[in-house]
This record gives sequence, C-alpha cells and structure tokens, in this order.
Amino acid sequence: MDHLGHGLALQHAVFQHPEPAKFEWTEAERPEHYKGFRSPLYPEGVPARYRLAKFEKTKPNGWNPTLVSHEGFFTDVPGFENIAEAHSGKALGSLSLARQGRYFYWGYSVDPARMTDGAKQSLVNTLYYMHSKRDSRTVPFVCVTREKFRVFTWLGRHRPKPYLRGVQEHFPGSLVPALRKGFERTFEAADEFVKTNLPYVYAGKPGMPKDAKYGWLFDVDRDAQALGTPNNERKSLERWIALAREGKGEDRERARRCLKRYVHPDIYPKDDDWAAWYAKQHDRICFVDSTGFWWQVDPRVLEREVAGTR
Amino acid sequence: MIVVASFVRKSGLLPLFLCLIASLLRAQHELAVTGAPPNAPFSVSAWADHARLVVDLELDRSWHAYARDVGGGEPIRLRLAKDCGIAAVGKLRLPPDIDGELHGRVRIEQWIRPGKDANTVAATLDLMVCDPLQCLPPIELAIRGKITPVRVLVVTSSADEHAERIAKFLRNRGFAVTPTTYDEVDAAACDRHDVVLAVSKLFREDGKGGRKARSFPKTKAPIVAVGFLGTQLIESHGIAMTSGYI
Repeated sequence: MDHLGHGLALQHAVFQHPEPAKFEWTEAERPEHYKGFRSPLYPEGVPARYRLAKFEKTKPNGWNPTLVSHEGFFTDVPGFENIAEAHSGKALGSLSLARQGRYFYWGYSVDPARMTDGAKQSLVNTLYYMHSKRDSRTVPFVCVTREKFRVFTWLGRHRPKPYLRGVQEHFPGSLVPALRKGFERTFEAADEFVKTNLPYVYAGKPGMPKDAKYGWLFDVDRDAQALGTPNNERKSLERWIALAREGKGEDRERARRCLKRYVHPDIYPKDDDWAAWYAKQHDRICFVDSTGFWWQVDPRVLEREVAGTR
Repeated sequence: MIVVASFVRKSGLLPLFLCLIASLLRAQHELAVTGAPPNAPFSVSAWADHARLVVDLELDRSWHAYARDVGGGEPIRLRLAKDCGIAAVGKLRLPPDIDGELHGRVRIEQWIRPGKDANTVAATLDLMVCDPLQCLPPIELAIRGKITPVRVLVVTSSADEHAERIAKFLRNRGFAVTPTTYDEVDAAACDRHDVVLAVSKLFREDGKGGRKARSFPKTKAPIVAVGFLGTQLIESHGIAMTSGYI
C-alpha cells in the first residue's frame, strides 16, 4: 500500500479523542477492482467516487504492508476492530489500521518527518486508546478462515490474462489429499466447491493434516453436511444439541460427533447434560474459524468475567 | 541491598521480583479511591491519563451494580468536580449489561479533556450494589489524584535519528517516552510501560536491527505494532490478525 487510507471509521476514538484528527482528503474514482465487492468498512460497497485521507506527506519510496482482511482471516474474531483500509492495488479490504485485544496494527510510517498532521493526531489518540486496553483479551491464531476459498473464485478472474495459480495451485493445495484428488482446478470447480461445501469446511483440529506451505489443510465435515447444519451457525449448534438429546440412529451420532468436533474442550460439558450446558453458555459463546473452528467463550465475555471468580 | 539482589537472582525468583516491581510501578499511577463501606462486595481502582478517567470495579460473585434505572437501584454515575478544571467529553461508557445489571469486572470509562495546567482529578462515583437478597445503601466513592503521562516504550531497529525524531515528537505531545531497540527490549521493560510502540521503517529497510521483531517478548502491555516489523511481531505472537499480509 502507499501513504493513503480510506473507509476510515471516523467516529472511532483513534480519530476523535482526546483531539479530533484532521486529514487532508482527496477524491478519486473507485478503482475497477473494488467494484462489486464489500468489506467491513464498506458494507454497501465503495461508492463510484470515494475519499482518500493522507497519512504520509508523500508516497513512500517503497511500500508499507497491509493486513489482508479481504480473505476473511480475522473478521470472524469477536471484538476485532477494522479502523481504516489501505490504498491497495490488490483488493478491497486490506487494512492499514486495526485492533485485536492488546494489539493494534498501524500500517503507516510513525516518523514525524513523514506523517501528516492527521496521522500525528491519530497516532497520539491511538496511544491513549491502547492505554485502556491492557486487560483486553486476544484469541490465538491457528488457521486461516474458510473465506480463503471464496477469494480464489474471484481473484484475478476477469483480468485479460486471468490469475490461475489460485484455482490451480493454492485452492487445491489447501485441501486434504482426498478432496484435492477430485478437484478439477478451474474457476467453475472452485465456484461449485464454495457453493456446496464452504458452510461445512473445517481445519486446525488435533490430528488433521498440515502442510509446510499452506498450514492446516481443510476437510469437509460430512456429518454437518448430511444434517444440513453449517458448522458456524447457532441454529446448527441448537440442532445438534436437540439431536444429541432426543434424536435417533445415525443423525444422533452425527450430531454428537459435531458437538465433539466444534465445542471447545475448555467448555465441553463433563456430564453430557447439553440442555444445562447450553442454558449456561448461551450468552457466552461464539464461533471462531481462525482459532481452529470452535464454539468457544467470546474473549470480551472473559474480560468481564475476571472478577466473577472472586 | 546487594545481598537481597544476589538472593533474588540465585533463588530463581527474578521473574516474580520483576513482576512485583512492575505492579508497584503501576500502583504509583493509580488514583486514590475512598468511601467504600467496610466489607464492600467489590474492589475498586482508578487511573487517569490526559484522555480518560477509568474506574475498574470488580464485583464479588452474585453481586451487581446498575447500568440504567430498572427499578432496583440507582445506575452508576460519575461526577467530575467543577473546580478540577477537567471537562467530561461524551457520555459515561459502561460495559454491556444484562437487563440493566452489571456483573463481574465493570470498567467505567469517562473521556475527559483537562484544561490548561489541570493535572489533578477530583471526581465522585455514585453507585448501588445488590445481590439477589439485598441492596447496600447508596455508595459515594471519592476519586482523587494526579493525572499521569502515558508511559510509552518506543522500540526501534536502531538508536538513530529516526528513533530520536519519534521520541521527541511523543515527548512534545505529553508522553513519558523510553527509547530502546529490538535487540535490547525485554518483557520486564514492556510490562513497566503503559503502551509499547514497536516501530518499523518501510518493508525490509530496518536491516539487521529488526531481525528480532519475530522474537519480541510476550508482554502484558498493549502493543502498537507498526508496519512490516509490526506484522512480524503480531504474527510471531500467534494473534489472529496478521495471518496474511501483502
């Protein structure tokens, strides 16, 4: 990315307090590769003309890295803050300012010789903001999210010379060998895989295969698929609980396996009393792909519960 | 003193000792909070910098306070003394409640704007606490003390002009700055500060001085991770945030 940012969450403390940050803005036409896409900071998509804020006085002689939000790597994390997007040639959803727990990512220079007044004030505000985050909880990273597969259905697809490595190499390379074998390595095959399997993929579980290049490899959960229960939806969890208690035959076994697969060991019930467990956990839990596809306690709930043990 | 230092080092208690020092240093920055009844079912601490007054209330199990008026007890209210020269900015910020009740750890945050030369906080926190059987009489906590500058540990790849410019800028903006480098920084130094600013130049321009970003110490302090070295630091800490970067 360069020295510009856009999609700024202008009401966020880092742009407001203790003093508002005043940026120099320019307006530009929406880049062609942003068209038709959405991101956390552009839930309705980027308008035909959009505004860019200057964080550094001039374009750097080199480049600043951005966090790849467009692959959904961490938008699944509760409490994650998308604060500004980078002006990136690659795709919409590349973050230049973001926070998870005690960690804040600042993608621009902090050299006062390079920073604009707006950036200087934002940096000052950020340091104050983070001072109040000492006890914030983070969640660990285990694997990338399922959104990775969706990206390869569009990345570089409509270029005059389409980007094929995504569907020919990275997409199948991220699957367990059994799934890789039958994958046809075309955009159409990627579309079909995403349509059929994305709600049921998972990775990062103990005993699953890992790859030196792609990390944890993804499998499709045939139990969840047979039940028609996307593994990250609350109504699926409720269905598994109902089936585990009152279901019959193979569906009951499938539901029990899903519960074992996705309910984090830290909160897994010791006595199989799923009704009591769910009553207790209902308001505490969320599903996170990137920690290893778990129903787990929301880190923000853990922050508040510190004193509950006294 | 030498004997104590030697004992601490030889006994393997050094990490514990450093934690204790860090806690004591943090305690120096806390405001005095008085007025809690004897055997109050909560503990309370408070601090203020030039942007926020923060009160942390830790309620005992089964006790709660109120975020809003639900007919059971008065909601939490914070009043800044008019003569302390500090203005409240916006509404009092409270964590999410459950049917108006606040349980466990309750962070009460008021954005503030101190006037010129104002450096002492004087405020009153009004609250009621109840358990399922009873409510204590309304409580008025007095909060007093100095606003302290935020202590920022600035970590750079080398102690050069670039590092000096950053430190000078932050000092001019009211921060207490300690400069260090990626080669020298350790967890104890990070823990002693309110915020760590882990600086980076452009991609691959930090040279050998930035090679230790990947082994950056784990710390309790919040980290503002900058640029390329920042992505390496966060990734090496295993945080679900920089699993991909371009």
